[in-house]
Parts: sequence; C-alpha cells; structure tokens
Amino acid sequence: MLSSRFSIPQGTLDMLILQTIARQGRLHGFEIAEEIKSRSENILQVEEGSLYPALQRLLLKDWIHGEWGKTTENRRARYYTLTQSGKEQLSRELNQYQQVSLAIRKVIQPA
Amino acid sequence: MRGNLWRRLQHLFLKNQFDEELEEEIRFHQDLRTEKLRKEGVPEAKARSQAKKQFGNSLQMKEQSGEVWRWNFLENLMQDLGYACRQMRMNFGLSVAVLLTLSLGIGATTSIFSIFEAVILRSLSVTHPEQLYLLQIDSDVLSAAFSQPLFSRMQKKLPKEASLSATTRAVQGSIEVDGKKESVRYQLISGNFYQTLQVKPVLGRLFTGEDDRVIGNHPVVVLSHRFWTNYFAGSPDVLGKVIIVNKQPLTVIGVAAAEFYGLWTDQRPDFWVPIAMQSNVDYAGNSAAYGDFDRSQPWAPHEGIFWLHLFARIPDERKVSQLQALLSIEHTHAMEKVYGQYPDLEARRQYLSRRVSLSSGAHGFHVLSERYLTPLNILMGMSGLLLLITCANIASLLMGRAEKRHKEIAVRMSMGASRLRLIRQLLTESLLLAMGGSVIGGFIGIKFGPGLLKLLDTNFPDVNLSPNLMVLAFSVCLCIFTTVLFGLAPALKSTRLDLVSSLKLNYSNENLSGRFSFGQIMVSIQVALSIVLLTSAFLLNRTLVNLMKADPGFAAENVLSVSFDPRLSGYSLEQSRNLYEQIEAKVQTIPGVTSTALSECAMVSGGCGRQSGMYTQGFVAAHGQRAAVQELFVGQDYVQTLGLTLVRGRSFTSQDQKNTQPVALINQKTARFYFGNEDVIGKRIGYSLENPDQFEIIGVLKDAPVNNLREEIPKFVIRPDVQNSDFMNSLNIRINGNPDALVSTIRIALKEVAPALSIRSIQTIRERINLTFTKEQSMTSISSVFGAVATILAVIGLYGLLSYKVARRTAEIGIRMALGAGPRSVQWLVLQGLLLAVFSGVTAGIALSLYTSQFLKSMLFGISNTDPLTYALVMVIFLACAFLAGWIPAHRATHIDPMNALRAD
Repeated sequence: MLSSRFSIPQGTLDMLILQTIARQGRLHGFEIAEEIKSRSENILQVEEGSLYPALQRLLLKDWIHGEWGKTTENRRARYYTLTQSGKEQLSRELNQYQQVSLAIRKVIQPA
Repeated sequence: MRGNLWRRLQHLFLKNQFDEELEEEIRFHQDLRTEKLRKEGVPEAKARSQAKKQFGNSLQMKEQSGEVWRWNFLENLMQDLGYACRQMRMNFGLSVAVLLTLSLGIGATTSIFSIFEAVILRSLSVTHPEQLYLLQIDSDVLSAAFSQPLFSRMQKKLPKEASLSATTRAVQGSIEVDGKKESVRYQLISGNFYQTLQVKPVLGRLFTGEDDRVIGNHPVVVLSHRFWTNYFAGSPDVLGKVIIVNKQPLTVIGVAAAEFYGLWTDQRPDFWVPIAMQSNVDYAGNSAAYGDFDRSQPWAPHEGIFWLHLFARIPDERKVSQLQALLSIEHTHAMEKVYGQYPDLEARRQYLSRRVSLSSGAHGFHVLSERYLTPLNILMGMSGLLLLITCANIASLLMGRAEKRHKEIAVRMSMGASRLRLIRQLLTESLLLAMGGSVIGGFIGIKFGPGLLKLLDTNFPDVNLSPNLMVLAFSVCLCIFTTVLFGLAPALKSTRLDLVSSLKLNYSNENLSGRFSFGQIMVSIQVALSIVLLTSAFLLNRTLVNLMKADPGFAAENVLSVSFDPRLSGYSLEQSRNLYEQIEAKVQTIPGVTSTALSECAMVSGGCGRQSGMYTQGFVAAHGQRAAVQELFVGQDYVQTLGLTLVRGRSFTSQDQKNTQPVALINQKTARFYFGNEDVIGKRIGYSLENPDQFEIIGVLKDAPVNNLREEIPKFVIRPDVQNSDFMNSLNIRINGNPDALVSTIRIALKEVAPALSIRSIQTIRERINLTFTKEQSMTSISSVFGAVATILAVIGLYGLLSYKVARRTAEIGIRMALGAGPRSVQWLVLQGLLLAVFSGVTAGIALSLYTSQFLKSMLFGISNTDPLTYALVMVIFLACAFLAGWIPAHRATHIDPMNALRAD
C-alpha cells in the first residue's frame, strides 16, 4: 500500500488542535485526534500519544481549559474548550500561517 | 506570566492528581480506539494491541507531558543546594570558620541596625503618623514655645478637618494611691490630644475636649498602659480610683493603648493630666521658666508664659502651607502683644522675627534621634566596615578552596558544564553560607540589641527592639549583599580557566614575582579597613581619657552633691528653710566634712540654674546677641565649697542678708560681655532695662565649664539664696579625704534629721561629670571591640595568605634550599609577598582614615581627627601584628626539607 500519510509539520500541531477545538467548541482528546484525521481526509497522521504533551503545553499557556465531564455513553472524559487568550492565539497563528504559506506558494510557483 | 507561575505551582503541589488524571485520559483514549477498531471488525485481542501501537509510547508521552510543567529553575536549585551541602560537609572546618566570622559581622551590623531602626527610622505608633505636623519656631522644634491663650486662638482659626493639640514634656511628681507613695513622671495634654492622634483606650475612656475646659475643674487622669500593668497589675478595677498627684486627687478614667507613650520619643510618662489642671498638680513646681510670675497662679491665662508644645493633624497634604501661614500670623500677633513694647530692642527684634513652620511629626518630638543620630551613624559605619572585612576574609578563604577545586571544575567544564551553571553552583554555596551567617547573626543581633542600648545610655527609655519587617528586610539584603561580596569574585575567577594547563598541573601557574594576586588584594582591603577602625577606636579612646582628665574648674573629686526635692517630699517653702538649717548643721558635724553649701541644683546637671535676662544701665545688645545669663542661687560658702576660683573681689558672707543690698558674683565671660575691660567690682546689674541697678557685683569668678565639658562656657551669675525664696535641691559637701567612705554616713545623718526627705542621689561632682559622657564611654568600648576584631581578622587573613603561599611553593622553596639558599633568603622570599599587601593596605587605610575620621569630629574632645601621634601609633601596632603573623609561616618555610619537598610532586 502506498503511504499517503504525512506526519504533521513541526510547530503546526498546536494550531491544529486549537483550530479543531475552536470549530467544535468542546472536545476530549480522542475526539480531537479523530477530528484532525477525518478533516484531513486521513492524510495528516497525528501520532495519537503526542497529542497529550501538546495539550499540556496549551494548558500551561492558558490557551485551553480542561474540564472533566461525561460522554454520551456516560463515561468520564476530560473536555477541552478554548479560552479567550486561546482564541487570540489561534487567530494570530492562522494569520501567520496563511502569510507564510502564501509566500511559499509564490516562491514555488512555476514562472 | 503570573498565571503561568501559579499554574506551575499548582502542578507542583498536585503532582499525584495530575499523574492520575493523565493516566485516566490515556486509558480512555485507548479504550475508545479499541472499541472503534472492534466495530470495524478487528478481533478483540488484536484491537487492543493495535490501539496501543497507534497511540505510541505511552510512558514517553507521560514523561513529556509532565516535563511541560516542570520547573528547570527549581530543579536546578535543588541540585545546587544538595551539592552545596555536600561540599560544606566535606569542608566542615572551613564552613564553620566562615559561618562564625560571618555571623559576627552580620550580628554586629544587625544589632546596631535594629537600634537604628527603632530610634531613628520608626514612626509613632498611631494611625497615619504621616499626617502629623509639629509646630516649630524657626528651626527649633524641641523648645516649648506657645502660651495657652495663643494655642486657643490658633485652634479656633483652623478649619474643621485639621486639629491642633498641645502637650508638655514630662516632669517628675509624687503620687499617693491607697496610702502608698511613689515617684512618677507625667505629661500635661490638651483635651483633644488623643483625638488628634487617634489613639484608642484599652480600658475606660480617654480625654475629650470636655475634660479641658475650665481651669482647675477637671480632676481626671489617663494612665499609660505600662504604668497600669506595672503599678495596678492591669486590673480593670482601676477605673474610678482616686490617685493623689502632688496633693491633688485625680480620678482614673481610662488607660491608653499599649505602646503609646505620647509624642516625646525619649519619655515614657506614667500618666496624662489635662492642661487645665496645671497649677492644681503643681506642674514643674508651677515656676514658669521665663520672667517673674506669681507661683500660686495657674499659667493658662498668661500670654507671656510659653510652656506648650503644639502639633497638628492635617489629613490633606496640600493644605499644609496654607495652614502654616494661618498659624504664623496668629503667632506674630501674640509676639507683638507680649514683646511689642519690650525695652531691649535687640531681644524685641529677635522675638518679633520668629516664624512658625510645620515640620513632619511622623516621628514625634524626636529628642532621641537628635541625641543619637551621630553616634548611631558612626556605629552603623563601623559595623559596616567590620562586615566588609569579614567578607574580604571569607572571600580569600573561599578563593583558597576554589583553587583546590581547580581540577574538579576543569573536568566539569571540559565535560560541557556551562560557566554560568558552575558560577551559579558556587554562588549557591556562598548563599547557603550567608544564610547560615544571617540566621546566627540575626539571633546575635536580637539577643544583644537591648544590651547595646543600655550600653549607649543606662537610662535609655524602653524601645521595642523585637524584630520587625524592616529589620528582617535588612537582614535579607545583608545576606544577598554579602553573598555577592564574598562569593562572586571567587566564583568568577575559579571558573575562568585555561582548561589544559589546569588539568595538567597540580597548581596554577601563579607567577612568583609578587604580582598583585586576588588573595593579596583581599588582604590589603582587610588591612586598610581595619586601620580605619583601629584609628577610630584610638581617637575615641583618647577623647575619653581627655574628658576624664579635663579640669572642670572646680574641686570635682572632693565634693559630694546630695540631690533631693523638698517640695515633692511635702515640705512647704517655709518649712524647707528650717530643713536646710538642720541638715547643714548635722552634716557639718561629720568628721572629714570641711564645708557645705546649698544650691538650687547640683552642678553639671545640664544647665543647672535658670536663664535670666540681665541688663546694665543703657545696655544695647549687639545684633544676634542675647542679654541673658545662667543664674544660680547658692548658699553662702558655695565658692569655697566647690573650689571655684575668685579672681576679683569677695565671696558671699553672713553680711549678705535678705534685707541688705542684693549682691551677685559673675564669671569673667559675663564681666566681658557687659563691661568689656572695666573693673566690675561695685558695678550694678539687674533683671530689666527699667531696673538695671538691682544687684551689686561683689566679685568675679574664673570661667569654668559649669554645664558640660564640651559646651561653650556660659555667662554665669550666682546669687545668695537668702536673697531669694525658692527651694534648694542640692547640698554640696566639701570633703577632706575619700568622699566614697562618707556617702553612707551622710545618708544616715540625713535620714536622722529629715526622715521625710527622699534623697535622689549622692555623687561626687566628678561622677556627675562622668555621667555626661556615657555616650562617649560606650562609643569607646564598642569601637575598641570593633577595632580589635578587625585587626585580628586582618592578621588571620595575612597569616592565611602566607601559609597558603608557602604550601603552594613548597617545591620551589625546596629547590632553592637544595641549591644553597639560606634561611634568611627563604624568609625574605616568603615575607616579600606580605610586604606589598601590608604596605599598600596601610597606606590606603591611613588615607581612608583621614577621610572618615572627619565624621567623628563632633564626638572628639581635646584631640584633632588628624592627630599624627594616633596615626603613627596605629601604624606601629598594626605593622607589629602583621609581622608577627608573617613570621610563623616564614619560619616554617625555613624548615622545609628539600628532599621531601621535591618528592611530593
């Protein structure tokens, strides 16, 4: 089978997580991993474990907020929501990313 | 950033919960994945292992998650501390030595600072002390300057939000409670005193304006907390009790807050009485210090008696200058009322030009800080120097050790340790030492602070020296300061290495030509600073000797002064005349007593006598001068009893009686002031310009320092007590032989004739003089200790430096000796290193002393702060000590066995 999966570029994982949470409002870890995978149509592969240190980093920076709650199957899970400063950070990062990718596209554009 | 810190701290303390939650989260994730895989058709067993695989290394993830939160700084610190502790254990002896020296330096500094803080820096313990202002006349804030009518007018002029109150200085009095007599001190205060200060009672109530309306009509008293606890055992029954103060019954209405002692920093009054009761409680004998007033009348209605000290609370700082102008106008009106027609034009000009201003009252009437600012500043400086010396001493000790660790440090650096990290580690060690020193030193400081206070002045009022935030902050600063001072240089130097040579050689390639090494610099600093301390100690010691030997101008050693207070002992003025005759007659029968004389007060007790205006016919004072003298009433034989020298005319005789021509003896200074070079015998002098012929001058006394050896000799006039009617509070007894032997005999004799008369003290005049320089005595002893400790430290430093050098150069010395060098040249080789350090230190020290000794100037007596002999002496003593310290290692060096020395490497 031809591997059409890529690991996530360095430094963009935080942005992806933030964006994913922002879109859905309130997600637990598994949902975030699934969401990223399905959104990218299975191209982007999050090594599922690496999600958790990243979440801790975001918690420490106070960009997301973690809260224990119940799933629809009535199981305990930690749900993450975006904080105000998380929202600000996300828009900063998106903006930056768009500028960078635009620039890259301009560079690699065939004449 | 603060939120970040907070979350890290939370993590630190909730570590277990954090781990459990993460664990649960990961398990949950894997469970969900397994379920999903199963739904996709993967068999149960395989689903779980695939979920795990997909998740990745969960242990590593947990580690990484935890690491996000971890605190590098804290972890490193813990590591450094552990390392430092191990190092200290390994060098136990050295660490103890460092701790001891450091706690000595820090202890001395802390104890002096705790006094400095309590006496100079601390505000009154009232609410918002910064809103208080003292009314001062020109630059004089400590003299009583306001009359009661002026005070009332000023009060009425002030707007509502500001309040003005009055207080007096405390005076001695006697009280009687339930038949028991006691000597006490009390202050008079205006009714609104406590309201202005916002002081609360601990019991009952305090005065209000209603307790101070009508003269003589408010027989109430408020006790101080201390008096209440000491004298009434803190009993609440004290309310309503009647205490008799100088024969006036007063009812106790309340007790003021603890720690509150009024506005005078040097006084701890036992109770307060409304100023309306001034004459009823016979405040200050009801004898106004200025002018002739009827002693049986209260002072309050008089415009011309200035007996009150005023202060105000002004909550709005912007109003201060406006209110000051308001008060100043009132004051000028009062001055015009009293002195507008004053015949002495110069005195009138001086009175009318006085201006009221408001100065900060946060520290109250700061008598204590006025008195002790200079000594405390000097002591702070000295202890600071001592601390610097200990730091230099420790720095060279640590340097020596750091060099021993050269190899270790070199290895660590070559393995990739960053220099910063190593410096931090070495500094952590220093910090640990400094913290130990601060703690021990802090305890020393707290323990010896009160003792030091009593050493400064045995009558020092109670000051709360228990450690507070200020002293704590000071200690912390000292700790950090000393760490940097003694730790930074060795840390920097020992981490700046040439790795290769350090690893190869056993000792660093210090050159042998006596270049200034770090150790030498530290030693010269110690030498220089200890020279400064030694010089100060010598200057103060010689000051004390000079004071002790100084000629007061009278027979100080052979005169006993008995102090008493017949008025407080219950005698009326008429009865007292009788009393004096009886005790004089009795004392004169004691063998060894050659003559006796009464006086208003004992000589050398801070301006004994009274300030009186004195005029001759048509006298016009020059600009800035005052036609006033220090006047003292004395018994007939006063001149001969005290051994004052009569240079012209005659002394008092039995011919001088109440109804004969009033006479006066004046000193040379008075004669020159009023008469220039004329012969003054038979000339007249009087209390006012209208009546300048009151007294005939019958003789001239040689000028003598009658108040204090340091003070300028005053214009001094004595007059016979028979021509005055006032209490005599001292009996002077001239003794042939040893006065001490007669003290108890005299005491018994007095008890016999006058059992009701309480005796305050019996002392020779020399003892009284010595009491005027207790401050100098304590400064001398403290500075001597500092000087000695500093010298010892410097000498130890020298010794250490040389021993270290000899040890390091054992091989070299061995070779030299093997090649035929004699003991003398070996000794010289060793001492060479010392010479430069000592001589540069001594030179710098002398130069520094010449500069710093000018701060001592005001304390010195009979010696210049640049006295060459003192400096020479200090130099000789120091060099002697230094060479003694150098001789031992030098001598040891000559006994090095060349064979052993060469084999060692």
